[in-house]
Amino acid sequence: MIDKYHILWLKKQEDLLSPEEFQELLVFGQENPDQIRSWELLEANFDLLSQEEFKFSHEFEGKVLQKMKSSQISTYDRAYQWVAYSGLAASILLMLNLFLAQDSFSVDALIGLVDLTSENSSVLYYLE
Amino acid sequence: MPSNQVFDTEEELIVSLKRAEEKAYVEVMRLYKEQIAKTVFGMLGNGAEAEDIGQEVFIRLFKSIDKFKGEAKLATYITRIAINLSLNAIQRRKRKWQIFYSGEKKDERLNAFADSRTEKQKDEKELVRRAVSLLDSNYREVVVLKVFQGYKSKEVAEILQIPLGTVLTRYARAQKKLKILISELDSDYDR
Repeated sequence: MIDKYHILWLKKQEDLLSPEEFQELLVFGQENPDQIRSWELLEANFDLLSQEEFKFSHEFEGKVLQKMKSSQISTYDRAYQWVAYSGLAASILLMLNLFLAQDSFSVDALIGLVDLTSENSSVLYYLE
Repeated sequence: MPSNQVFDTEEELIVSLKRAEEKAYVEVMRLYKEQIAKTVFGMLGNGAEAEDIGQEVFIRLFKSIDKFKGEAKLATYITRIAINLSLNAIQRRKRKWQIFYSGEKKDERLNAFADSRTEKQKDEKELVRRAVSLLDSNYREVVVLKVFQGYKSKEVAEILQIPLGTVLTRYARAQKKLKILISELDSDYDR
């Protein structure tokens, strides 16, 4: 029950009370002045902390900016890797395709030097 | 938005942040560094961990700024990030605590604080600060936002995305718990 009035008392500090709640708290306060005083003392504990100063170190901003830069570079690296791996995967698929088409699993087949209609798919055959 | 010289409005600042411009990063840190320091140091206490979490708060903001739709103020958004990252750090700390001190009770933690006391720590403000650090995290976050940051209960409700009644209940209970913790710590100091 006291919790309820404690909350009403807290609401009063921030002008959040309705007229009915204000009246209710007023009556409670007249009957229990010591309780109101104890809440004021509890609040005073916190007042001690409200002037606390907290500061980060002097290097704080520099460290944050440095971390941002390094994370942006790694994002670029990831994008670059993605393109490289996609290209590699496409090459392997193409080689596999040519191999299945004419049994030629070779670099010259990959770069398109073989004649798909010829029986000999080695690039050396054409160079000779 | 607090006074600033580089951008006229918060909207301009956000546009610049979304373009990943360094001047916007610097400006955001200038504007909100103190506020975030109060939050993370209030939640985690003084130390390297709080400094690291503070850096992480800004990095998280800068990286997630595209998701920021402007439904809240930037100050609210960044404070929410700071609270969430601090709570994560507290959870990690608790897990470590459980691993290394599985049988330890709160009374023993209080003794650990008392053992590390110095004359300065006997200072009343230090006593209250230590008591706040022993509050459960859901009480502590309300205390930190209301007392250290000076937010009104309605603003705390918005930041934590909980009802106003819950904020007031937690604050009232935090005050009562704090009274008990202070008397326990005080008697330990005098022992």
